[in-house]
Amino acid sequence: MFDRYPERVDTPNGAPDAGATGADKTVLSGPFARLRKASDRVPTKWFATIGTTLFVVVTAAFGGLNAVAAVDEPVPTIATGVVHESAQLNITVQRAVLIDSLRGAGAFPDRDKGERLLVLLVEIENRWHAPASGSMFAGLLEPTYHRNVVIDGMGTVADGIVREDDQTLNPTLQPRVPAVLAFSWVVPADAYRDGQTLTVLLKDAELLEGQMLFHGEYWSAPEPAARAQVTIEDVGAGASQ
Amino acid sequence: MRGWTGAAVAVVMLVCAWFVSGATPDGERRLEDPFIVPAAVSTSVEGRNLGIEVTSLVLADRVSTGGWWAEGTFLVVELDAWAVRTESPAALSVANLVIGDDTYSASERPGDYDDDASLAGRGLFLEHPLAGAIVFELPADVATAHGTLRLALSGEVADSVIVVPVDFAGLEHRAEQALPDVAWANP
Repeated sequence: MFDRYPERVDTPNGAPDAGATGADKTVLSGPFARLRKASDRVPTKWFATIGTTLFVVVTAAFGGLNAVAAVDEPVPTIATGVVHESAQLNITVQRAVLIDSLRGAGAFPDRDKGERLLVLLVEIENRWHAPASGSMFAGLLEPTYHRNVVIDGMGTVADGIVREDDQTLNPTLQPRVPAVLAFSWVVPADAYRDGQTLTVLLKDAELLEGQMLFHGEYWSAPEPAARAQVTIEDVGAGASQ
Repeated sequence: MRGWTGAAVAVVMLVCAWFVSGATPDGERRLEDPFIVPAAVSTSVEGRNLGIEVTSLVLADRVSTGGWWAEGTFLVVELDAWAVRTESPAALSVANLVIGDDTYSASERPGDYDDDASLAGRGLFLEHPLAGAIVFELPADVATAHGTLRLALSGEVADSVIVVPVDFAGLEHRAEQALPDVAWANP
């Protein structure tokens, strides 16, 4: 007997006739016979409808296709010199300086284009148990801090990050050893002025645990956590700095 | 019938694999375990391709080299380092100090100012040890702690790691330490 799936002869109302059902019983055996027989009775066209209905019902159960309303957590505003604490870093904005250029800052304004330097002095303490890299080329899962301090409204990572004391570029921050860093941005000369209040956006990362393709802990991309306000001092060419 | 035999063999093999993975501690992570080479100060040891002799351990409040200096709490490790089997690749890329749960990496600050002030990351040579210093920048409260110095070529994955215990309470504590330039150990 080669014909394991004998052609069913359907009666006009869709139900198989008695003879075909009898043949199925003798040919099909095993645990899936009942399932196969049951699915044979469902017209193929119905599967699309059943699938679509299931999709719509499940989607509706999870709240439909509307975008989930973003939860706007208020970001607190803090004053100059106040420590912003997080699980990874303690960040204190100390001073903001507008200067023509600054040797060793790692950022190079072009005077001919009317550019100046906005320098932010920030003390950062690494509270994590491994060093935090300042390099933009740090590994994907390496803890870093260079994205955690940005100017509110500008958003870009600083053009140069150096230690304030010895101008080490992109210094590594060792656990619990605080350091004062200079974050420098090249800005148009008329973008900021002396006495203006600058809002610095401080971001916190979240500690995540490797799930499937790797193991270990790593810090997520930082999200806004606080706004620090600092008054800009224009020091001109920088003789007094 | 042949289909059933194949399925049965597959199930038996899966069960066996389950037992094997259950008997393997920590599963695949142990594949990456380093090979620990214990060492001590003034003892010469060799791993797969890294030879180390730590010659002195000193705590200092200020370190300097040439025109550079830094104040804080520093562990200055003076050591000889050489390659054992090949010079390419051979570089002292991993120099970490582990204290409790915290890991400190060798400070890049002296080497940033003067390449010769730090042995961290330097290429190593067969038969001719390089002598120099590695500096760790530490919190001030470390002076009573115990730590371990871990030195390796290119990561602590499935390669020799030379481990030197450091008892901070027993170390000499100096006000200032000048860093030696990297030089041949036996010129």
